[in-house]
Amino acid sequence: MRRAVSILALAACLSAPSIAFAQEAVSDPWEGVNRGLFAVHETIDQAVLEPVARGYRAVTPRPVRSGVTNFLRNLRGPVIFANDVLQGEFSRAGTTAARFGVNTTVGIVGVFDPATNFGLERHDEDFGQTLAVWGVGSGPYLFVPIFGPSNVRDTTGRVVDMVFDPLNWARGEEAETARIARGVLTGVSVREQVLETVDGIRANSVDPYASIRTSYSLLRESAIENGRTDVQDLPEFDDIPETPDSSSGGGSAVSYLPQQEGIGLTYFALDYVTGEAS
Amino acid sequence: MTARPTRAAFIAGLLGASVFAIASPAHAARNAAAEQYVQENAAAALRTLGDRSISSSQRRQTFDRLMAQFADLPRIANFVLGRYGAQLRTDAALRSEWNETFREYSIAVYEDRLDSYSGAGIRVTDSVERVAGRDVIVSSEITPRGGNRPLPVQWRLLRSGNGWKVVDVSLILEGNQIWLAQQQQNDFLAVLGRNNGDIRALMTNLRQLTASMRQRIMARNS
Repeated sequence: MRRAVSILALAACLSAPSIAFAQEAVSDPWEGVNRGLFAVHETIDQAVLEPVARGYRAVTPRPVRSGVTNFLRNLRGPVIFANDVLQGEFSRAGTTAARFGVNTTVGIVGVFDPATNFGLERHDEDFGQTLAVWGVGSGPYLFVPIFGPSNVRDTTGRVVDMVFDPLNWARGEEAETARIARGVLTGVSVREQVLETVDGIRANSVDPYASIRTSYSLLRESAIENGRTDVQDLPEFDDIPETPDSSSGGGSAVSYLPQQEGIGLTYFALDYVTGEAS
Repeated sequence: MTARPTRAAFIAGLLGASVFAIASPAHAARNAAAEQYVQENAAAALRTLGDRSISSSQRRQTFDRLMAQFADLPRIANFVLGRYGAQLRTDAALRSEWNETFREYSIAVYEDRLDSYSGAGIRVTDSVERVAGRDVIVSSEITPRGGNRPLPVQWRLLRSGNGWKVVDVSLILEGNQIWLAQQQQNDFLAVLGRNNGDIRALMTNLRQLTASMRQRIMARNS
């Protein structure tokens, strides 16, 4: 939890039942619609996004791709800074400002990342995380084709982040072209970074939609906590009785009503968590 | 308007802070035995996956054996079912069938996913006791061949009987952490929630996935 949050909220967080960490359902009241939109996204992805990302990987050497990633991340500096401040994370805000200054100058408009070598570690923030720190719940889960997994809070956050982004303040045809170019480049770069992840989900998951939902939720939760997990919040792994309890009768006759649905590594879970998709 | 804290609340808070201060060092203690266990077993598993001097089937057998020793697969199998695991307590045949299906699936997933890390090096960097001497989180870094950036990986170990066993593994992606058994539990709960808790239907899905993963691994290794 952020330092800006009251001690009371921190205590409440630490004392939350550990089971909630793993089993709290993602609110997905629009699951039917979301699954339909996920299917649309999969079609678009397999027809366009994935082939473009594979082509991008094929024609660009790794250092070039790293430069593109660094450049795009650096452009997010002002948005991260604004959210650091809004969350009361002034030390992290200072790190963000220093990173932006160093990488924009010494790093040649952000293509290189000397700041990390200077001990200024990268982190990410967005207004969705800020709202969470302020106590706003996630709201229903959303899956938006092209953009990927989200929820009402984080989608709202994206709109507000656009206001923080200086590139959106500029007017004129050139600025519009730059915005579109950045959006396309971000999409291609992010999709390239998660090629293996998506392959893994498609190949290994019993339910790719649910896996992406789970990953998004768990990674966002970690992002909101700035990656800090208290080990005491981890769930218990119960002992298993050596012999089954035969007195209770067979299990097959028991009706198990639909329960909380799970939450899943994702296409855009990763990029949404890092805030790189746009 | 904010209520003023009472003296009792203040004393309770002070007491709580004191307890926390006393308790913290115990939780923060490292556990050398757990660290050594991870270092030796994880290194052996990664070495096995990268060992091209043995046949594909020998490699698989060795990896299976290592994973069965290293991880507490029955306990994980029970955990990932969440509340639906209650069915296993009353049905021995189902429990045995589920444990075997989950074991086959998990080992195939590990083998498939860890392939890109075959021959990688692992270095244990830290550990923290969640429950002293019994529940430990070990931090490590896996460095892929070719010297790419190390991947931070945490291992959660429980001590049962005389030995340690891994029950969960977490990856840290862009600074954010995801525990894989928890992720798997949520995935399985989603499927079970949609099929009225039918573990046998889930097993059918897992067997199909395992078969296709095995085909892919074989094709890759041939």
